[in-house]
Amino acid sequence: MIGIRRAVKGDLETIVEFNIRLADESEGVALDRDRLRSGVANALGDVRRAFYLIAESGGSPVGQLMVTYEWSDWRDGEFWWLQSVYVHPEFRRQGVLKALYAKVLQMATEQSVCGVRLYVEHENDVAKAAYRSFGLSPAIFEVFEHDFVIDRGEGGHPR
Amino acid sequence: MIKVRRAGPSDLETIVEFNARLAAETESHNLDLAVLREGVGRVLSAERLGFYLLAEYGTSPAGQLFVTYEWTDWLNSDFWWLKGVYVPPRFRRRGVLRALYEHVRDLARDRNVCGLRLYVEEGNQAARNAYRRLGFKASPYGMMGQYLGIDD
Repeated sequence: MIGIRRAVKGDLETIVEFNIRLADESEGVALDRDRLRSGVANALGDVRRAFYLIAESGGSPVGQLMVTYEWSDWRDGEFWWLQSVYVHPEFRRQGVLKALYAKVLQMATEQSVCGVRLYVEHENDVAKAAYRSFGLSPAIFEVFEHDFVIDRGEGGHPR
Repeated sequence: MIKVRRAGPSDLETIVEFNARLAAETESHNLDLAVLREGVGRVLSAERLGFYLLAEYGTSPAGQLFVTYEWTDWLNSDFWWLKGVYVPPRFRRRGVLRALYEHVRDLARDRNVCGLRLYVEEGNQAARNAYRRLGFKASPYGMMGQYLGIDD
């Protein structure tokens, strides 16, 4: 049985660990743990930056996602961006991601959010298929960036 | 001579006008002006949602840019998203976009922002080229989305 709840400050180390694994698994990147810990703590301490949801099974954390906000002046409302989605390997293919997404959608609808967005790597067909099955559609936009921290080549690796 | 400054509450109608034209030109979309005016007004009165920069040529408004923030826990910092970029036709090809970009880039660096991002429509080659000239690179990401309760 998967339960979903808002993260609290006591979840700091869980979220740090999940992000370390996420960066390693998805992008082969070793994050700076201290910087990450500050980044998570600053989000947990200020809901205007972001919030996290934690998926639990039998009282143990098994998955997470982070939500950030994008104001749309055209719609007088905000989009929610789904970020840092991670499910512990032992709990994959058991509906954890689906439960996390359903919770986000429920909260977003209650709070009159105008839409949900996420990035997905162009070649990540597994992720794209999963999100399609939840009702997300590919947008006609591509993301361009000018990263001051990590300079990589065109189309090069993340974030 | 182009000057760039941060927009304030008295710029509301200029920004509404620019966004209405931007939507009509780029997406053939007629925005609901009352909704747009509310959406812009909230930004002008609440810094946490974002901010606008206005370019001026003499005393005429010659362009705008809207910035929103995206927290990244991995880097303990914000990305800034560049949105709502608009230059009225009579001020195009005079470096207004570059002036807006350089202003926002310098502000971002002063505030330890970790990077700038923007979306470009896949078919919009002119925009892609313009942003490449300013130093942007295509990311490995595309975007997916789901609209809730509104027709878009």
